[in-house]
Amino acid sequence: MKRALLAALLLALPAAAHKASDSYLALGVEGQHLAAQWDLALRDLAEPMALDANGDGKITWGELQARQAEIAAWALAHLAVTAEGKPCAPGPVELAVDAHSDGTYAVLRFALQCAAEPAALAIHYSLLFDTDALHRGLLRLNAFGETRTAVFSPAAATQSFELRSQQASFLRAGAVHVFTSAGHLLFLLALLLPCVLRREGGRWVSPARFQPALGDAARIVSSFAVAHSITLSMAAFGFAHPPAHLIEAGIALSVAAAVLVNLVAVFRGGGWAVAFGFGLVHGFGFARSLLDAGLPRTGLLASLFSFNLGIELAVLAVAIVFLEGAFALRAAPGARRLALGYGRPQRP
Amino acid sequence: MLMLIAALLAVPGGVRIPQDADEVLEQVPPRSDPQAQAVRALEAKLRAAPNDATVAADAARSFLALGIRQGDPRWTGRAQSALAPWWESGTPPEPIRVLRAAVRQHNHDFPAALKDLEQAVKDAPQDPQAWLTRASVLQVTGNYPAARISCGPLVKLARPLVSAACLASVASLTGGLKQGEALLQHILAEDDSREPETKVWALTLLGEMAARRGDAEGADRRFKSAFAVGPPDAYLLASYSDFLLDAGRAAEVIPLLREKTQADALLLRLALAEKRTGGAELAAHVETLRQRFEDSKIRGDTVHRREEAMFRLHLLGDSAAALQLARANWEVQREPLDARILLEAAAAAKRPGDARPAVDFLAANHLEDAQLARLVAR
Repeated sequence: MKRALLAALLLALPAAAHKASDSYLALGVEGQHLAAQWDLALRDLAEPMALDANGDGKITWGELQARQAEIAAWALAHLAVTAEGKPCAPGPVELAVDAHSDGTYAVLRFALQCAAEPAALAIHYSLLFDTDALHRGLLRLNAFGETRTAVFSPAAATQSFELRSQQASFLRAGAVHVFTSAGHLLFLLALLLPCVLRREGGRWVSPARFQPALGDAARIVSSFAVAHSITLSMAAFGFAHPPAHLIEAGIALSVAAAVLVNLVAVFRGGGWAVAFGFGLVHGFGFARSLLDAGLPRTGLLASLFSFNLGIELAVLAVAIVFLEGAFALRAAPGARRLALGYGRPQRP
Repeated sequence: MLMLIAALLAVPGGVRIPQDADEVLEQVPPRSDPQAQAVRALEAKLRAAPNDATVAADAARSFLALGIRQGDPRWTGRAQSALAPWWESGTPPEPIRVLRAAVRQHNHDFPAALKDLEQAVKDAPQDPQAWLTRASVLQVTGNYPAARISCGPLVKLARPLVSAACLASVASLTGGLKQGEALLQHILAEDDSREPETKVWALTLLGEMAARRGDAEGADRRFKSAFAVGPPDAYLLASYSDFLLDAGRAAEVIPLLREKTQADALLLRLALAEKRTGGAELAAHVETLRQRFEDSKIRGDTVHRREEAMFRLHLLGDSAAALQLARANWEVQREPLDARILLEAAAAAKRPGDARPAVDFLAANHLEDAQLARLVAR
């Protein structure tokens, strides 16, 4: 047997008695830029970058600084970030140091310039994989108030990340909430119905022109918006927290009330007042959904605004589709009875 | 409270730009270091011929040996990289397959290591390394009968000291502590080789065996002989520290490990000693360990479970978390230390039933160990 036996293997010392080789990459989306901080262990850099220039076994700040350009070029050659398929170009690299649990790390700080604010990123990381298969790149990616982590390894060297801005998420959440909860939709439709069909002198009549109908609808939608914005904001900022069952009951009552108002026609042209009064209750309902979705710690006002805007856009969409449709159908035979379910037959 | 403040102060101060060009940031082996030169030469050969199996096997073997000495997984990673062209191969050339198994063993991927080794002993039954590594994996996972069988061929294929150490090690865990110890001691006295690693290994085993018998004096003598052979490897340092801690000699651990804080297993023992003696750096070392285990978690490593369980139980006093880790660790590794942390954590968490698998295992194998016997009795 010429070669030495690895007899000591029988000892089976835990392989990771040390911390293994890791680098720490932090990326933050800031508009078109990605702010990057990349921490690399000096023990990993020492050999490939020949850091110990005088060979005395000590890596000094001066020796590290002298190799700054080479380190930056080498590191960046092993990192490729693309946004929607277009590469994000790295800017000048600033060098610093930081102490980690297993020694001193070189800290590279730089910006990556993308073509536009990224909605999706693909990151390819290949540093040290050719010489240390156990090396890992640990990524922290901050985008639109959300932090995600990932681990790059030889088997997972390229990874993609779908980013969505926080404001877009809240906008969507607001709109989805309107469409997915029957209470808000029914209330709205019940209020809008009289704009195209209402009782006058014991008869169901519809306006001859679209414009007045639109005006009525605008008043109703606006007062609903103002009212629910007030209570939504109050709840989001923590000023008011009515019990959930009261809100649920209030929303149910609002639907019944809106229908009743149509039938008995108590408030002539007063739909906006009903919209405002019960809009306050609906605002608390919206707030519950927003709070359930989890409010961000930063940018509360912006998120609230986006969420509210989402609600408004959904309400407008419903109103427009409904008004257009209902106005077009209003003259159709049986439309009134169909729409209202019952009513005195109209004299010919 | 003071400890907490110290821990906070010990937290890295954050990113900074040093003012002094002469500030020393890190220690590495000096350029004149023969070992570093040898590594550089191997890496150069690897770069020139990355697909040459002989070059790759030489490099991987050297890197693994360095990893054992220093306890640094970077060497395991470099060995794995040297073997990269054959890492997924179903039919790697012979020395490569055994080395691949050794890397997998170090990564605690025991099933994959064993699969390679089963094939290796079939394809090349004349390779002692295959039988030895196989015995090692089987022993770590608690399959003692199979481990003993795997030591058998070494009697013919390897130096007497290697086969004796292999057999004695298994025997000492299966009711034959005294006989194993006598055999190993006898063969060691006859051994005239100049290979220090095997001698250190045999003396470390003998020290551990004496300690398990409760013979503190004999253990100390053998450990000290092991230190006298040459520079100690990380395993000897950890093993002797464990012995000193059990013998109530924690103060002696501190000078032994003060400069070895890079290795987690050794830093852990240093912190344990500092806790017993009121060492000044305890808080800083606990914080460093906490951070390292945290970092490993981000990586997704699970090879740390035994050490982390010891850390959580003895240094943080979190018996519930320690028990969970010790139980998960027991599913993978079954060395006396693995049984011990499971017993200790289960007792501390007041859930002695959770240690039942270890108790049954120790009884079934007639494992003799003074410390473990005391724990089981409780």
